[in-house]
Amino acid sequence: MNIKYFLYVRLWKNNSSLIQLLGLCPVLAMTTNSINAIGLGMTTTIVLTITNTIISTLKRIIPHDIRIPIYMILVSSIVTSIEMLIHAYQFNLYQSLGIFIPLIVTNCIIVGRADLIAYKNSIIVSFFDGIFIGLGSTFAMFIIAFIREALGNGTLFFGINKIIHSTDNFMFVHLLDKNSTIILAVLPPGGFFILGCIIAIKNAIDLYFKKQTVIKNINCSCICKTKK
Amino acid sequence: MKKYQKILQSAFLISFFSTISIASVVYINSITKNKIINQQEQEKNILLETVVPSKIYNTFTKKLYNIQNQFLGDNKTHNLWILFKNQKLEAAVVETTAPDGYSGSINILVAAYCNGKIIGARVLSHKETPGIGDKIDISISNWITKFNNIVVSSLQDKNFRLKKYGGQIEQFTGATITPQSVTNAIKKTVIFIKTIPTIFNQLK
Repeated sequence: MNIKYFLYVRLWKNNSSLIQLLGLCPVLAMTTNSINAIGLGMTTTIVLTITNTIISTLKRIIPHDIRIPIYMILVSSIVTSIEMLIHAYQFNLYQSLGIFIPLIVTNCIIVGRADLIAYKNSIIVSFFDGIFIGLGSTFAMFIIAFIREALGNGTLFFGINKIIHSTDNFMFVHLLDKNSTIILAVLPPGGFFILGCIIAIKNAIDLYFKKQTVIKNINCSCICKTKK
Repeated sequence: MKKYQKILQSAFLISFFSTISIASVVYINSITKNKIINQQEQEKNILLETVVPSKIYNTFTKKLYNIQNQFLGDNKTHNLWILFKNQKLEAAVVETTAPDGYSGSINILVAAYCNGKIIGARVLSHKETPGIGDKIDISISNWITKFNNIVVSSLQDKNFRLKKYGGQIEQFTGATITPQSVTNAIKKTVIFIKTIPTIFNQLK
Protein backbone atom coordinates (compact mmCIF):
# COMPACT_ATOMS: atom_id res chain seq x y z
CA MET A 1 0.00 0.00 0.00
CA ASN A 2 1.20 3.49 -0.88
CA ILE A 3 1.72 5.21 2.52
CA LYS A 4 1.68 8.70 1.01
CA TYR A 5 -1.70 8.06 -0.62
CA PHE A 6 -3.00 6.43 2.61
CA LEU A 7 -2.19 9.62 4.54
CA TYR A 8 -3.43 11.96 1.80
CA VAL A 9 -6.85 10.24 1.65
CA ARG A 10 -7.37 10.25 5.42
CA LEU A 11 -5.96 13.65 6.33
CA TRP A 12 -6.99 15.68 3.29
CA LYS A 13 -9.05 14.09 0.52
CA ASN A 14 -11.60 12.34 2.79
CA ASN A 15 -11.26 14.52 5.89
CA SER A 16 -14.11 13.39 8.16
CA SER A 17 -15.00 16.92 9.29
CA LEU A 18 -14.44 18.93 6.11
CA ILE A 19 -15.47 16.49 3.36
CA GLN A 20 -17.68 13.81 4.92
CA LEU A 21 -19.10 16.40 7.38
CA LEU A 22 -19.49 13.77 10.11
CA GLY A 23 -19.78 14.55 13.82
CA LEU A 24 -20.35 18.27 13.32
CA CYS A 25 -22.10 18.76 16.67
CA PRO A 26 -18.89 18.57 18.78
CA VAL A 27 -16.88 20.21 15.98
CA LEU A 28 -19.02 23.36 16.14
CA ALA A 29 -19.60 23.32 19.90
CA MET A 30 -16.04 22.77 21.09
CA THR A 31 -14.17 24.99 18.64
CA THR A 32 -14.51 28.29 20.48
CA ASN A 33 -11.15 27.51 22.07
CA SER A 34 -8.16 25.81 20.43
CA ILE A 35 -7.19 23.86 23.57
CA ASN A 36 -10.69 22.37 23.88
CA ALA A 37 -10.59 21.47 20.18
CA ILE A 38 -7.24 19.70 20.57
CA GLY A 39 -8.49 17.95 23.73
CA LEU A 40 -11.66 16.65 22.09
CA GLY A 41 -9.79 15.78 18.88
CA MET A 42 -7.19 13.73 20.70
CA THR A 43 -9.88 11.97 22.77
CA THR A 44 -11.77 11.10 19.56
CA THR A 45 -8.51 9.88 17.98
CA ILE A 46 -7.80 7.58 20.94
CA VAL A 47 -11.36 6.18 20.83
CA LEU A 48 -11.14 5.67 17.04
CA THR A 49 -7.78 3.90 17.26
CA ILE A 50 -8.78 1.58 20.11
CA THR A 51 -12.19 0.80 18.55
CA ASN A 52 -10.73 0.08 15.11
CA THR A 53 -8.01 -2.15 16.55
CA ILE A 54 -10.39 -4.15 18.77
CA ILE A 55 -13.00 -4.60 16.02
CA SER A 56 -10.34 -5.61 13.51
CA THR A 57 -8.95 -8.15 16.00
CA LEU A 58 -12.39 -9.64 16.66
CA LYS A 59 -13.80 -9.38 13.12
CA ARG A 60 -13.79 -13.16 12.63
CA ILE A 61 -16.06 -13.81 15.61
CA ILE A 62 -18.45 -10.89 15.00
CA PRO A 63 -21.39 -12.10 12.85
CA HIS A 64 -22.42 -9.77 10.03
CA ASP A 65 -26.06 -9.55 11.22
CA ILE A 66 -25.30 -8.22 14.70
CA ARG A 67 -22.14 -6.25 14.02
CA ILE A 68 -23.71 -2.80 14.68
CA PRO A 69 -24.95 -3.59 18.25
CA ILE A 70 -21.55 -5.09 19.02
CA TYR A 71 -19.81 -1.95 17.70
CA MET A 72 -22.04 0.16 19.94
CA ILE A 73 -21.30 -1.98 23.01
CA LEU A 74 -17.56 -1.75 22.39
CA VAL A 75 -17.56 1.97 21.56
CA SER A 76 -19.68 2.91 24.59
CA SER A 77 -17.50 0.92 27.01
CA ILE A 78 -14.29 2.39 25.54
CA VAL A 79 -15.68 5.94 25.72
CA THR A 80 -16.92 5.44 29.30
CA SER A 81 -13.51 4.11 30.33
CA ILE A 82 -11.70 7.02 28.67
CA GLU A 83 -14.15 9.48 30.25
CA MET A 84 -13.33 8.10 33.71
CA LEU A 85 -9.59 8.26 33.01
CA ILE A 86 -9.84 11.89 31.83
CA HIS A 87 -11.99 12.72 34.87
CA ALA A 88 -9.31 11.23 37.12
CA TYR A 89 -6.12 12.45 35.45
CA GLN A 90 -7.11 15.52 33.37
CA PHE A 91 -9.80 17.12 35.54
CA ASN A 92 -9.60 20.60 33.96
CA LEU A 93 -9.96 19.16 30.47
CA TYR A 94 -12.87 17.00 31.67
CA GLN A 95 -14.65 20.11 32.96
CA SER A 96 -14.17 21.90 29.64
CA LEU A 97 -15.26 19.04 27.40
CA GLY A 98 -18.13 18.06 29.70
CA ILE A 99 -20.99 16.38 27.86
CA PHE A 100 -18.97 16.08 24.65
CA ILE A 101 -16.89 13.16 25.96
CA PRO A 102 -19.87 10.77 26.36
CA LEU A 103 -21.25 12.15 23.07
CA ILE A 104 -18.26 10.60 21.25
CA VAL A 105 -20.30 7.35 21.46
CA THR A 106 -22.81 8.79 19.00
CA ASN A 107 -20.15 10.21 16.66
CA CYS A 108 -20.77 8.79 13.17
CA ILE A 109 -17.03 8.74 12.43
CA ILE A 110 -16.42 5.99 15.01
CA VAL A 111 -19.03 3.46 13.86
CA GLY A 112 -18.50 4.50 10.22
CA ARG A 113 -14.79 3.65 10.27
CA ALA A 114 -15.42 0.50 12.29
CA ASP A 115 -17.79 -0.82 9.63
CA LEU A 116 -15.99 0.53 6.57
CA ILE A 117 -12.37 -0.22 7.49
CA ALA A 118 -11.88 -2.21 10.70
CA TYR A 119 -14.38 -4.95 9.85
CA LYS A 120 -12.79 -5.55 6.43
CA ASN A 121 -9.06 -4.87 6.90
CA SER A 122 -6.03 -6.04 8.84
CA ILE A 123 -5.24 -4.86 12.38
CA ILE A 124 -2.35 -2.63 11.22
CA VAL A 125 -4.42 -0.89 8.53
CA SER A 126 -7.29 -0.40 11.01
CA PHE A 127 -4.95 0.92 13.70
CA PHE A 128 -3.36 3.54 11.42
CA ASP A 129 -6.72 4.39 9.86
CA GLY A 130 -8.01 5.23 13.35
CA ILE A 131 -4.99 7.41 14.08
CA PHE A 132 -5.04 9.37 10.83
CA ILE A 133 -8.81 9.79 10.53
CA GLY A 134 -8.72 11.09 14.12
CA LEU A 135 -5.81 13.40 13.38
CA GLY A 136 -7.61 14.68 10.27
CA SER A 137 -10.63 15.53 12.40
CA THR A 138 -8.40 17.10 15.09
CA PHE A 139 -6.62 19.19 12.45
CA ALA A 140 -9.95 20.46 11.07
CA MET A 141 -11.21 21.27 14.58
CA PHE A 142 -7.97 23.05 15.45
CA ILE A 143 -8.08 25.24 12.32
CA ILE A 144 -11.70 26.25 13.05
CA ALA A 145 -10.90 26.86 16.74
CA PHE A 146 -7.73 28.80 15.88
CA ILE A 147 -9.73 31.27 13.76
CA ARG A 148 -12.71 31.46 16.14
CA GLU A 149 -10.59 32.00 19.25
CA ALA A 150 -8.35 34.55 17.55
CA LEU A 151 -11.28 36.59 16.21
CA GLY A 152 -13.74 36.08 19.06
CA ASN A 153 -11.53 36.27 22.15
CA GLY A 154 -8.32 37.78 20.78
CA THR A 155 -6.29 34.95 22.33
CA LEU A 156 -4.59 31.74 21.26
CA PHE A 157 -4.08 28.58 23.36
CA PHE A 158 -6.04 30.08 26.27
CA GLY A 159 -6.18 27.46 29.04
CA ILE A 160 -3.12 25.50 27.86
CA ASN A 161 -2.62 24.42 31.48
CA LYS A 162 -5.65 22.11 31.02
CA ILE A 163 -3.52 19.84 28.85
CA ILE A 164 0.05 20.60 30.01
CA HIS A 165 -0.11 20.89 33.79
CA SER A 166 3.43 22.25 34.15
CA THR A 167 2.52 25.41 32.21
CA ASP A 168 1.27 28.56 33.85
CA ASN A 169 -2.37 29.65 33.53
CA PHE A 170 -1.25 32.80 31.72
CA MET A 171 0.92 31.08 29.09
CA PHE A 172 -1.23 31.96 26.10
CA VAL A 173 -0.86 34.35 23.19
CA HIS A 174 -2.70 37.70 23.17
CA LEU A 175 -3.51 38.57 19.56
CA LEU A 176 -6.23 41.21 19.78
CA ASP A 177 -7.38 43.77 22.28
CA LYS A 178 -10.70 42.85 23.96
CA ASN A 179 -12.40 45.78 22.21
CA SER A 180 -11.26 44.65 18.75
CA THR A 181 -12.75 41.15 18.93
CA ILE A 182 -15.65 39.94 16.78
CA ILE A 183 -18.21 38.31 19.09
CA LEU A 184 -19.93 36.58 16.15
CA ALA A 185 -16.90 34.28 15.76
CA VAL A 186 -17.50 32.53 19.10
CA LEU A 187 -21.28 32.32 18.65
CA PRO A 188 -22.85 29.29 16.87
CA PRO A 189 -23.63 31.16 13.59
CA GLY A 190 -19.99 32.24 13.43
CA GLY A 191 -18.96 28.61 13.81
CA PHE A 192 -21.05 27.60 10.80
CA PHE A 193 -19.78 30.55 8.77
CA ILE A 194 -16.10 29.83 9.53
CA LEU A 195 -16.59 26.10 8.82
CA GLY A 196 -18.15 27.03 5.46
CA CYS A 197 -15.24 29.36 4.65
CA ILE A 198 -12.68 26.65 5.49
CA ILE A 199 -14.50 24.10 3.30
CA ALA A 200 -14.57 26.68 0.47
CA ILE A 201 -10.82 27.35 0.85
CA LYS A 202 -10.09 23.60 0.86
CA ASN A 203 -12.18 23.11 -2.29
CA ALA A 204 -10.41 26.06 -3.96
CA ILE A 205 -7.00 24.52 -3.14
CA ASP A 206 -8.14 21.16 -4.53
CA LEU A 207 -9.47 22.82 -7.67
CA TYR A 208 -6.21 24.74 -8.18
CA PHE A 209 -4.11 21.58 -7.95
CA LYS A 210 -6.54 19.73 -10.21
CA LYS A 211 -6.13 22.46 -12.85
CA GLN A 212 -2.34 22.33 -12.46
CA THR A 213 -2.40 18.55 -12.97
CA VAL A 214 -4.61 18.90 -16.07
CA ILE A 215 -2.29 21.60 -17.54
CA LYS A 216 0.74 19.41 -16.80
CA ASN A 217 -0.90 16.43 -18.51
CA ILE A 218 -1.84 18.53 -21.57
CA ASN A 219 1.71 19.90 -21.83
CA CYS A 220 3.14 16.44 -21.40
CA SER A 221 0.91 14.97 -24.13
CA CYS A 222 1.80 17.86 -26.47
CA ILE A 223 5.52 17.28 -25.94
CA CYS A 224 5.08 13.56 -26.54
CA LYS A 225 3.20 14.22 -29.81
CA THR A 226 5.84 16.65 -31.11
CA LYS A 227 8.59 14.15 -30.31
CA LYS A 228 6.79 11.52 -32.36
CA MET B 1 -33.51 -25.85 14.43
CA LYS B 2 -30.75 -24.01 12.57
CA LYS B 3 -32.71 -20.74 12.91
CA TYR B 4 -32.87 -21.07 16.71
CA GLN B 5 -29.21 -21.99 16.81
CA LYS B 6 -28.34 -18.76 14.99
CA ILE B 7 -30.51 -16.71 17.39
CA LEU B 8 -28.86 -18.38 20.39
CA GLN B 9 -25.41 -17.80 18.91
CA SER B 10 -26.17 -14.10 18.37
CA ALA B 11 -27.60 -13.78 21.89
CA PHE B 12 -24.54 -15.49 23.35
CA LEU B 13 -22.14 -13.23 21.43
CA ILE B 14 -23.92 -10.02 22.44
CA SER B 15 -23.98 -11.24 26.07
CA PHE B 16 -20.29 -12.13 25.83
CA PHE B 17 -19.31 -8.69 24.50
CA SER B 18 -21.56 -6.95 27.03
CA THR B 19 -19.98 -8.89 29.90
CA ILE B 20 -16.45 -8.06 28.75
CA SER B 21 -17.38 -4.39 28.27
CA ILE B 22 -19.03 -4.14 31.69
CA ALA B 23 -16.05 -5.87 33.31
CA SER B 24 -13.61 -3.42 31.70
CA VAL B 25 -15.70 -0.39 32.75
CA VAL B 26 -16.01 -1.73 36.32
CA TYR B 27 -12.25 -2.29 36.44
CA ILE B 28 -11.47 1.24 35.16
CA ASN B 29 -14.01 2.63 37.64
CA SER B 30 -12.32 0.84 40.54
CA ILE B 31 -8.95 2.29 39.49
CA THR B 32 -10.16 5.88 39.05
CA LYS B 33 -12.88 6.14 41.73
CA ASN B 34 -10.72 7.49 44.58
CA LYS B 35 -8.76 9.77 42.28
CA ILE B 36 -12.00 11.32 40.95
CA ILE B 37 -13.32 11.90 44.49
CA ASN B 38 -10.00 13.54 45.45
CA GLN B 39 -10.08 15.75 42.35
CA GLN B 40 -13.62 16.92 43.15
CA GLU B 41 -12.71 17.67 46.76
CA GLN B 42 -9.61 19.54 45.62
CA GLU B 43 -11.71 21.56 43.16
CA LYS B 44 -14.17 22.51 45.92
CA ASN B 45 -11.32 23.62 48.17
CA ILE B 46 -9.80 25.70 45.37
CA LEU B 47 -13.18 27.37 44.80
CA LEU B 48 -13.62 28.02 48.52
CA GLU B 49 -10.20 29.64 48.67
CA THR B 50 -10.98 31.86 45.68
CA VAL B 51 -14.15 33.14 47.33
CA VAL B 52 -12.71 33.47 50.84
CA PRO B 53 -9.23 35.07 50.78
CA SER B 54 -6.62 32.72 52.27
CA LYS B 55 -5.70 35.10 55.13
CA ILE B 56 -9.34 34.89 56.31
CA TYR B 57 -9.90 31.28 55.21
CA ASN B 58 -6.95 29.89 57.19
CA THR B 59 -8.35 31.27 60.46
CA PHE B 60 -11.55 29.20 60.16
CA THR B 61 -12.43 25.57 60.66
CA LYS B 62 -15.05 24.41 58.19
CA LYS B 63 -17.81 21.82 58.10
CA LEU B 64 -19.79 20.73 55.03
CA TYR B 65 -23.58 20.31 55.03
CA ASN B 66 -26.14 19.62 52.30
CA ILE B 67 -29.18 21.87 52.30
CA GLN B 68 -32.38 22.67 50.42
CA ASN B 69 -33.84 26.15 50.72
CA GLN B 70 -36.07 28.39 48.59
CA PHE B 71 -33.58 31.26 49.00
CA LEU B 72 -31.00 29.24 47.05
CA GLY B 73 -32.90 29.53 43.77
CA ASP B 74 -34.21 26.00 43.24
CA ASN B 75 -35.33 22.82 45.00
CA LYS B 76 -32.02 21.01 44.54
CA THR B 77 -29.58 20.10 47.30
CA HIS B 78 -26.81 22.68 47.68
CA ASN B 79 -23.44 22.49 49.43
CA LEU B 80 -23.11 24.67 52.50
CA TRP B 81 -19.80 25.15 54.27
CA ILE B 82 -20.13 26.63 57.74
CA LEU B 83 -17.01 28.42 58.95
CA PHE B 84 -16.26 28.40 62.68
CA LYS B 85 -13.83 30.49 64.71
CA ASN B 86 -13.12 29.23 68.25
CA GLN B 87 -16.16 26.89 67.95
CA LYS B 88 -18.33 29.92 67.20
CA LEU B 89 -20.34 30.13 63.99
CA GLU B 90 -18.87 33.09 62.09
CA ALA B 91 -19.56 32.78 58.37
CA ALA B 92 -20.77 30.47 55.62
CA VAL B 93 -20.09 29.63 52.00
CA VAL B 94 -23.05 28.45 49.91
CA GLU B 95 -23.49 27.10 46.41
CA THR B 96 -26.53 28.93 45.07
CA THR B 97 -28.44 29.29 41.80
CA ALA B 98 -29.74 32.32 39.93
CA PRO B 99 -32.60 30.65 38.04
CA ASP B 100 -33.48 33.69 35.92
CA GLY B 101 -30.28 34.26 33.94
CA TYR B 102 -30.60 35.43 30.34
CA SER B 103 -29.62 32.01 28.95
CA GLY B 104 -30.57 29.75 31.85
CA SER B 105 -29.47 29.09 35.40
CA ILE B 106 -26.28 30.62 36.78
CA ASN B 107 -24.51 28.72 39.57
CA ILE B 108 -22.76 30.93 42.10
CA LEU B 109 -20.61 30.40 45.19
CA VAL B 110 -21.31 33.04 47.86
CA ALA B 111 -19.39 33.62 51.09
CA ALA B 112 -20.66 35.96 53.80
CA TYR B 113 -20.47 36.61 57.52
CA CYS B 114 -23.56 35.89 59.59
CA ASN B 115 -24.09 39.65 60.03
CA GLY B 116 -24.73 39.99 56.27
CA LYS B 117 -21.32 41.27 55.17
CA ILE B 118 -20.23 39.64 51.91
CA ILE B 119 -16.76 38.07 51.90
CA GLY B 120 -16.82 37.20 48.21
CA ALA B 121 -18.72 35.60 45.34
CA ARG B 122 -17.77 33.62 42.23
CA VAL B 123 -19.76 32.26 39.30
CA LEU B 124 -19.26 28.50 39.06
CA SER B 125 -21.05 27.89 35.76
CA HIS B 126 -23.26 29.81 33.33
CA LYS B 127 -24.53 29.82 29.75
CA GLU B 128 -24.55 33.58 29.24
CA THR B 129 -23.79 35.21 25.88
CA PRO B 130 -20.03 35.45 25.19
CA GLY B 131 -18.87 39.06 25.14
CA ILE B 132 -22.06 40.38 26.74
CA GLY B 133 -23.39 38.45 29.74
CA ASP B 134 -20.21 36.50 30.43
CA LYS B 135 -18.67 39.47 32.28
CA ILE B 136 -20.03 37.84 35.45
CA ASP B 137 -17.17 35.33 35.10
CA ILE B 138 -13.99 36.27 37.00
CA SER B 139 -11.81 35.11 34.08
CA ILE B 140 -13.49 37.70 31.82
CA SER B 141 -14.08 40.66 34.15
CA ASN B 142 -13.68 41.61 37.82
CA TRP B 143 -17.32 42.77 38.09
CA ILE B 144 -18.19 40.06 40.62
CA THR B 145 -15.51 41.33 43.05
CA LYS B 146 -17.51 44.56 43.50
CA PHE B 147 -19.80 42.67 45.91
CA ASN B 148 -16.93 42.19 48.38
CA ASN B 149 -17.52 43.82 51.79
CA ILE B 150 -21.03 45.04 50.93
CA VAL B 151 -23.54 44.49 53.75
CA VAL B 152 -27.03 43.19 52.94
CA SER B 153 -29.55 44.39 55.50
CA SER B 154 -32.77 42.83 54.19
CA LEU B 155 -34.55 41.55 51.08
CA GLN B 156 -35.95 45.05 50.60
CA ASP B 157 -32.47 46.64 50.80
CA LYS B 158 -32.68 49.47 48.25
CA ASN B 159 -28.91 49.84 47.96
CA PHE B 160 -28.45 46.23 46.92
CA ARG B 161 -29.83 46.75 43.42
CA LEU B 162 -28.39 47.77 40.07
CA LYS B 163 -27.76 51.50 39.61
CA LYS B 164 -30.42 51.42 36.90
CA TYR B 165 -32.99 50.58 39.59
CA GLY B 166 -31.67 53.09 42.13
CA GLY B 167 -29.13 50.87 43.89
CA GLN B 168 -25.34 50.82 44.35
CA ILE B 169 -24.40 47.87 42.16
CA GLU B 170 -22.87 48.69 38.78
CA GLN B 171 -24.14 46.85 35.74
CA PHE B 172 -22.08 46.30 32.60
CA THR B 173 -22.60 47.62 29.10
CA GLY B 174 -25.11 45.80 26.94
CA ALA B 175 -26.59 43.57 29.63
CA THR B 176 -29.08 44.14 32.42
CA ILE B 177 -30.81 40.79 32.93
CA THR B 178 -27.61 38.86 33.75
CA PRO B 179 -26.19 41.21 36.44
CA GLN B 180 -29.67 41.73 37.90
CA SER B 181 -30.13 37.96 38.16
CA VAL B 182 -26.74 37.49 39.87
CA THR B 183 -27.37 40.43 42.22
CA ASN B 184 -30.75 39.04 43.32
CA ALA B 185 -29.31 35.56 43.85
CA ILE B 186 -26.44 36.91 45.98
CA LYS B 187 -28.86 39.05 48.02
CA LYS B 188 -31.17 36.09 48.75
CA THR B 189 -28.20 33.87 49.61
CA VAL B 190 -26.78 36.39 52.09
CA ILE B 191 -30.22 36.67 53.70
CA PHE B 192 -30.19 32.87 54.00
CA ILE B 193 -26.68 32.96 55.55
CA LYS B 194 -27.98 35.48 58.12
CA THR B 195 -30.60 32.92 59.21
CA ILE B 196 -28.07 30.09 59.66
CA PRO B 197 -27.39 30.75 63.40
CA THR B 198 -31.11 30.31 64.12
CA ILE B 199 -31.50 27.12 62.07
CA PHE B 200 -28.07 25.65 62.90
CA ASN B 201 -29.43 23.01 65.28
CA GLN B 202 -31.71 21.67 62.51
CA LEU B 203 -28.70 21.22 60.21
CA LYS B 204 -27.08 18.74 62.57
